[in-house]
Amino acid sequence: MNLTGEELNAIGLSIKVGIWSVAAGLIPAIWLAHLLARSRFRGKALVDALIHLPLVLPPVVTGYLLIITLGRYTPLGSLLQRMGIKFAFNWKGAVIASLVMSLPLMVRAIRISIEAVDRGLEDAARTLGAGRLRIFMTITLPLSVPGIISGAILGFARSLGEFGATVTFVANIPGETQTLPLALYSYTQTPGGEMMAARLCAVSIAIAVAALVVSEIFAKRAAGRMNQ
Amino acid sequence: MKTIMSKNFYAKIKWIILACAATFLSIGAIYAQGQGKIYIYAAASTTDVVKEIIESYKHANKSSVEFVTVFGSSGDLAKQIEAGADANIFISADTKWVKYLEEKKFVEAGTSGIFASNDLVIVASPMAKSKLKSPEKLFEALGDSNLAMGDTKSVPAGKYGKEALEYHKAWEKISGANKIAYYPDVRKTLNAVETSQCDYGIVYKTDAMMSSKVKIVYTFKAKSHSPIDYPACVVNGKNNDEVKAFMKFLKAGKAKQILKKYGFAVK
Amino acid sequence: MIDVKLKKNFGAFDVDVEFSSESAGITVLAGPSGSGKTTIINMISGLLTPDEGHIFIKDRLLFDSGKKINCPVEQRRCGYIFQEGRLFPHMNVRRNLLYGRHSDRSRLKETITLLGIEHLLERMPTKLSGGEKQRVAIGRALLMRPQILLMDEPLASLDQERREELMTYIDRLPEQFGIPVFYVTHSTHEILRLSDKLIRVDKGRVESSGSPGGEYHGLGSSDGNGEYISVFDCKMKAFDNEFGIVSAEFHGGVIRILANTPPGEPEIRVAVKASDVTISLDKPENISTTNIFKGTIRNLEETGGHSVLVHSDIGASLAAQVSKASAVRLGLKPGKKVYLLVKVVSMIY
Repeated sequence: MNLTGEELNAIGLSIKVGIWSVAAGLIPAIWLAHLLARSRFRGKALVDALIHLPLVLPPVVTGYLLIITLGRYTPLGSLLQRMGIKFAFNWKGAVIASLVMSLPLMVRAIRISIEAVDRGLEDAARTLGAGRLRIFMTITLPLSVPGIISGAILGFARSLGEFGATVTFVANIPGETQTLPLALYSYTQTPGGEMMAARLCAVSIAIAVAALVVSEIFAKRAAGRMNQ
Repeated sequence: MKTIMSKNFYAKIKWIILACAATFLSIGAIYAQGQGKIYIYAAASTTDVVKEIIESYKHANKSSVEFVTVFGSSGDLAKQIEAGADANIFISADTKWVKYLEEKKFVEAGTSGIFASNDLVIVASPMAKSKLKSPEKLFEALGDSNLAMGDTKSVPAGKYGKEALEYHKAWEKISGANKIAYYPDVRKTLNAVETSQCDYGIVYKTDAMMSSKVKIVYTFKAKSHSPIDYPACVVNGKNNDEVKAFMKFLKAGKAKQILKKYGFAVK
Repeated sequence: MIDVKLKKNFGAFDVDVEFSSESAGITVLAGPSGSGKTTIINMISGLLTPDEGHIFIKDRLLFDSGKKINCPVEQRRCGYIFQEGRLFPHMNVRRNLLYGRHSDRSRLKETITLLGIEHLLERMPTKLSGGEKQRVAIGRALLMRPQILLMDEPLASLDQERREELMTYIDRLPEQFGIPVFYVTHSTHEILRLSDKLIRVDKGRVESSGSPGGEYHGLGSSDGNGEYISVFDCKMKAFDNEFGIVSAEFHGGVIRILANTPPGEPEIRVAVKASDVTISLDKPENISTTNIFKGTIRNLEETGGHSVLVHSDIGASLAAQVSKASAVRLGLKPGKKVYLLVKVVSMIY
């Protein structure tokens, strides 16, 4: 299958945006998942709802919300621009859109994993003198690794398929923000573009399957280490 | 004895109910069709104007026929019709999609024709600082902002926009500097300008007029781009008296008035 | 060593206890299921906060509701051995052992040798037997150099053989490591075997508190039927090889026990069931029973049914179970001088 330059661009961009949104989102996702799993505080339900918002809102609405919070003339947006952080209409903006859409999925998967960690083990660690941070790093986190891996894969997969929020926030610019779904959509809107669309579809599936295989390998290794 | 009867009995009852439901639903569907609903598949950019024309038609002809409208991108609609959607009339924002269906024999011969056309304009966002005199000055006017446009391959307005900019010798400069933000439909293009994500954008005149937030700063001359024509046609095998009457109304004076009100150009 | 006053209300159930123990050995907190033992030990460790009260461990004030002092769990220096061990499944034995804060690596070798787990260092917890798991748990707690070891029914999930094995290790802990142990259980056997001080609780209240060598009412049989046992801490005097008899001294005199081998240590604990004790008004002559003690009746206790418990002072306290009819027939009453014949004596190692 000979891929055109534009197709290769779209594939490369999709992978780049996918990896970056997971990389940037994983630590906040772990922190939020731990907060929701282990802490009790006022407004917890509100935080939970906010995190899940991108899951239930139409993606275009989420894209619109991104514009009104991080847009060019918003307080936050212009501040970041002055600081030299530019993400309007480039791949970084695509990462932001993907991150926002994948975060709820990552948080959910990781939270379930953390909740499954036996609190009795954490209590035992406390009696042995470990403080909260040490318990998190040495007990909770290592035992949640399978959930974190699955969360990362879910996040990556979500990012691969991300369309609505991305195109609303940073448009469909080849080489900069044209990820696979955006390129695919363009082809479906062109008469006779079905062939191209089908090719990109095949590539998307291949990437998704590869990601799943990789995650299985990691998950097995993590489980294997515990049962030596 | 009683238990055996209950098990079989309830299973049978379930199947009878399902069979009846299926029958009634299909009868209902055929019945509804037979009642003479007219399905109009129309390009999204014609949403408001088509709705008003339908109201006007029903009022003028004292018709009680029910119209079902489906709005979307011309390409999506054409594909749906090809896949067997129940459309009587297809209104496209681009002649190429009607040609597409004609090639595949989905258009009844002799029913397609242009009933309106549109102008292409440059709009400015509320936060746009500079004034625009002509498309040649667009590059400077943009500054560090992007120009919002539809995808040139898949959105008709995008295609026309590229032609117009090429005509004014501004295309190379602007697209070369990577200053164009492509959107998959006109709604999103307009939205980008409304929210000031892009200071300028190229959309249809009719779209610009619907938004109170953007200002039209330049109208492209007709010669700078291909004609933006709106063809309407009848789907093969879906014609009837009511459909014929509506198609005639579409090209009549009352409809033309409504079209003009929305910013369309009529012959 | 340990001085607590604890109150906690759970709605349907509440705990209100006050006790202390100066023992540098093993203090046992005993009671039936649901008596509040685990609640109490959790409050001492800090995993549960009392509504009211205070906790002193070795003169350190860990909790005082009045002064609003509540030392966090991780600073209490109380090693805790849980019923399920709770070894960290993703770490091998070595990493588990050394997990404690300020864990004393220099004592690792000594500790694992004493606990018999040297060969297990690289193993993962899933590959350990129940007994091995608990020994690692003990080692892990010890290595953190705690001020006290808390144990919550650590032998409950083990089979009989492992229990015996582990009790040997636990028994020696205070002596080998210089750490007092606070041990929660409902098992008679463990109480008799391990306790240097016994605190009994039921329904969230302290029932009795004292040193063994007194009487352990209701501890006798496993069906909790309230077999009365008299327990004596004795010192071995001699062992007769030919007839297999251990002679031991206690406050009541000398007691003889049948044994195949002499006990390893000179301090032995001995238990006598009240139903194995007979009363005679006259000194028995030419009788097979060797353990005969002279004593004075202190009081008679109704136990329901047709028996009565006769508590006597023979220098130590000994109880005999006698039918009501016999008690009347012999005219047993406080102050009467009698002879007590002990048929069966059990030695608890």
